[in-house]
Amino acid sequence: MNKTVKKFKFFNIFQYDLEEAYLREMSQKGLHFKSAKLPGFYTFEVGEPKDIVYRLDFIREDDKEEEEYRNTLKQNGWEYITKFADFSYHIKPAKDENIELYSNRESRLAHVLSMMEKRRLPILLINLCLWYSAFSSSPTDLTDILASVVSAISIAAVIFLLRDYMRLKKTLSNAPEAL
Amino acid sequence: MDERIRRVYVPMTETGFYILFSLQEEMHGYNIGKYVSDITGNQVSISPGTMYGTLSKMEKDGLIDFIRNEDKRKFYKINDLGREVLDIELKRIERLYKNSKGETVYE
Repeated sequence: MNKTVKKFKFFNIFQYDLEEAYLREMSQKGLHFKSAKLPGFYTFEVGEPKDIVYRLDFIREDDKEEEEYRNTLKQNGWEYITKFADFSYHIKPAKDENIELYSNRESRLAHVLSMMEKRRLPILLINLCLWYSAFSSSPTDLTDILASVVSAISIAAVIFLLRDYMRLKKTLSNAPEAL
Repeated sequence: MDERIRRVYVPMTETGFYILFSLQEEMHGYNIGKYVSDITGNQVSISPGTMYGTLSKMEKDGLIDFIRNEDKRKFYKINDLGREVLDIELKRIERLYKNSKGETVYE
């Protein structure tokens, strides 16, 4: 059993490209990602520094489809590492020719859109209900103040998520087509 | 042809065109990728996520049929609707090509 190191670094769902870059950087230092148990807590295995490309793919809802998809990636030379939360993690040596999971703009944006649809819209709706109940009552007693604080935090969270979503969409739109 | 199908697939993306074009023969995703690389002198490569997504979408939209499973590989082939879309696209590409050479196209 190799020595392992734990590190903390948090990325939200729309920062998965930054997470990919972070994991690659760690591998270049000889810390190879093995698993994650809680959001932001990474377990790395200590080894030789290697240039490895990490790709995160949004997990498909249908288990059979997900398995099928992982097989497809395997046939294309991708090694499956683990899954955590919304994503499955796949690696390939950086010197390999085809190091993207999505080669054209359309499919890259579709990938991100599926994240937005499946995970964040329900949260947004819950938030709206929360805000509605908070703002429709006047903050006179403690519970109302608490509700306002919770709403303020959730509003901030949604704003940050939207900002990251816009950033990601822009990055992906500007990325060159893999030809 | 459905208005939606026409809107989504005419004109097609380069990836979409090469996948549908390849499926005139029965093939699975990995095969299609290799075939497209070969016939384009490695100028067009289709990544697995894009391939998988496009095949699922085309199957759902009824342009291609799932034929069989072999060694965990799914074989597909173009069907009548797919053929119709491909023919429209081939005609369009031919027109583009002719016009780009300075030829005028009639009817």
